[in-house]
Amino acid sequence: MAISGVGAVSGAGLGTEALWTAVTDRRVLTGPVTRYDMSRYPARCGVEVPSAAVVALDSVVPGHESLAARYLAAAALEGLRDAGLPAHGRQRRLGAFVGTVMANRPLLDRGIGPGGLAVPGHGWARPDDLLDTLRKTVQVTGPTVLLAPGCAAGNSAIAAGCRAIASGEVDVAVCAGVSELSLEILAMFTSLRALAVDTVRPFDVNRRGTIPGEGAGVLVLEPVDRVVARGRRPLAQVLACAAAADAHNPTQPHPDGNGLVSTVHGCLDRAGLTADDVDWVCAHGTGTPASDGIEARAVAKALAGRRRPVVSSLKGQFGHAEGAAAALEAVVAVRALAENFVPGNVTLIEPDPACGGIDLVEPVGRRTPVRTVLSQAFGFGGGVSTILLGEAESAAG
Amino acid sequence: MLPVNDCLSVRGLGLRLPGVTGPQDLVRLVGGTSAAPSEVRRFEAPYTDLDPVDRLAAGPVEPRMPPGVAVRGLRALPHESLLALAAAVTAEDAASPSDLRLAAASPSDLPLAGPSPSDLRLAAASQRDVRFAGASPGGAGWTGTPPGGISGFAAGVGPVAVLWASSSAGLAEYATICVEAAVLDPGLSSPIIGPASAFNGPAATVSIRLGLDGPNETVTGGTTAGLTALIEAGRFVADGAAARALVGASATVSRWSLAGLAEDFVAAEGAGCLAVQPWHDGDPGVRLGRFHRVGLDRSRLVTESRDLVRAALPPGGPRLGAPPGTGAAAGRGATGGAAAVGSGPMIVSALDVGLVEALAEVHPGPVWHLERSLGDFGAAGGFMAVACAVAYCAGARAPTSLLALAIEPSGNAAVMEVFTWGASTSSSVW
Repeated sequence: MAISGVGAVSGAGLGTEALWTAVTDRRVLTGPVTRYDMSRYPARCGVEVPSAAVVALDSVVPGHESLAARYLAAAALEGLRDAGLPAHGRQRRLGAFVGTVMANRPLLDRGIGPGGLAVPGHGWARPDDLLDTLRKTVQVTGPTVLLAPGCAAGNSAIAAGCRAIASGEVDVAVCAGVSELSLEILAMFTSLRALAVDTVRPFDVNRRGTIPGEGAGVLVLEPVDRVVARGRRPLAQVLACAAAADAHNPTQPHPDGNGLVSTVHGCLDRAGLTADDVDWVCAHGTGTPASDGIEARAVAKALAGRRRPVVSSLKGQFGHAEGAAAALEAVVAVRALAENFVPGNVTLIEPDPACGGIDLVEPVGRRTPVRTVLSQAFGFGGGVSTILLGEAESAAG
Repeated sequence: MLPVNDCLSVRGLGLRLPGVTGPQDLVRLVGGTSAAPSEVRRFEAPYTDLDPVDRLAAGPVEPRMPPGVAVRGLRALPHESLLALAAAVTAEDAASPSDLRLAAASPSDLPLAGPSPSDLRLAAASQRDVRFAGASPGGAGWTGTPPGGISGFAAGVGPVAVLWASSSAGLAEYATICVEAAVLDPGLSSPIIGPASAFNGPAATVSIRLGLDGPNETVTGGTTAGLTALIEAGRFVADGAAARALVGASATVSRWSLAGLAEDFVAAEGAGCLAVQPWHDGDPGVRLGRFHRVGLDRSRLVTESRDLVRAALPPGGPRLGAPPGTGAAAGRGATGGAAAVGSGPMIVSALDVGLVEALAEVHPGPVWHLERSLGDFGAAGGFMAVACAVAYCAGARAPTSLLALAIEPSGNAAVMEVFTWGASTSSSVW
């Protein structure tokens, strides 16, 4: 399965290049939330798509009350352009597979005011509206699928697109994850005492919680021979996808990371690879005390080989973009494969000894051959979705 | 990867719908021979500027949780998750092997109270091995999932996937957090409600409560979501990611969900779940057959929808015979007489009454409009159309074949064939 194009809208701005530059420049994009009044909140940080980038969306996609709808369309257009595919055309079978956590519900947040809720319109009750702008800008002749399995949404969307192509249902799959910064989520995580006050520090002994973010990531998938027939080279390939559930607790991962271990093994089995073949584990790594330790142990167990698995999390830089997180991380993984660079744990100061079974990448990152990347995601409800990406050379034959 | 079309057989159906105590009730309601109960209810949203609304709505539907489900913590679950869990347990129990069922409860223990237990047993005995446990304690209590344990349907077979469709799950909880953010100090929102404010509460609840560790996916959006859940389940099963699956859909009515529903229909509430497993040559029962998902041109929606239905029907009249590679099936089909796709009703989930009426002009059998019969289920509508088709097939003389179709205003559409063994079908792609 070839990845022929990528697109992104993130805290770094519009475009994949802005995202990758932020990664390599080790920019930490968490900061005070400006979109909502957070003055009464003990933790007031988030990651917002910069206001200048939001303004710049006007020249890229039609207007819509939902920022998420516009992020999604902008990233999809970039992905198709990157793949050398027109946005419109009835001759091809193009499907859209979109992952989200809250869809348009954050529209409701805008009515939160002193003493009550001034309910704006109806769009927050119609999740399908999230796709409005995408449908105006991209001609979807195949299925449109909106997945909302929790924070694994981006990987779920990529996996659904892979299945659709493998079955011959579509020729092109636009696979996306998208999210809009939500005051409801900030309020929820405040009550759960799960927010970091200043910085997300995945796998650090002093990690204190996560910080919500937003954006959209897109992978355009096609059969390899279709990309080659157009005279292009795939950017990378999806080697395998696997999904599972912890079946344990609505908010806590299984203490043994059962679901994650299962998906890691599932990906390796399907790809015919071993633990030692994985060059980088792009971790879920939210920076919460409980989750990171479980994830580190599960990865060490699932990838036990001749060397400790090489692990880093991007959430120290980009926060947790929820529905967009896994898709944005997949976009970064594609670039990591192309550039032979493993991003670092930029905010890591003192590695947690409980994470000793994994090789935490130093903040500066590592320039090293990268042939395979494992990217995992999980969230509330216990759903886990993992993808294994590989370099372009073998895809192109 | 195995072909996905025709790969699933239905082993159990669980329903929590108003006026439905067994599968044939659903057929009668959607077919229009009886009316679904509904009443004008008042919906309010305190601490907001939303005015109270009096609206014709179904329900409220009671979960009627089957005996044997661990009750601890159930009261903290959202209503829609409870409906989903009850429907899933019922479907799973109905699909469990009979020896486990007998082990769980002797015949003398069968509660006879509640609606039509005899109908349910008849269904189990004669309806081509698709079993149905009704919404009544009688039906579900027949089997009994061990508290906190795994039923016969899921035990020892490998990963069991859970796929669920809903557009209303978590919405009332999301709105509650927003209201609390407005009227309470930060940090005082309920830590229980927040995690339930996403769409995936039903799928997560079913997975956690039933110990199902296979893929866990939630589909939302418009009415095609439920068909997509079934199609994705077929793909998980076909590529070996799951051995079996519970696939369901649900909707609940609140002041909040009304904002997303069409005003022309009753606001519908309820849940349904199908227990599905890979179809093997020679298996009896109801099967999920060919499907097609497509993005229609919304400016030509009527024309392209008609074309979609025509393409789903066999050219030149009935196609006879069983699917390729089904030798035993061919024999059964030959002796039982074959039915044509479309000889039964086509069940359509769509918000456009005119569009559905236009489809009646190209479909040889009757066209049943789910929303006009039961109301607007949001993203659960397409699944309910399939559930009704399964119930119809199970109650009709085999071979029987019919179409379930979902069309969204955007043009996103999905159609699936549901049939009993021996009916005309084909693995070819439409």
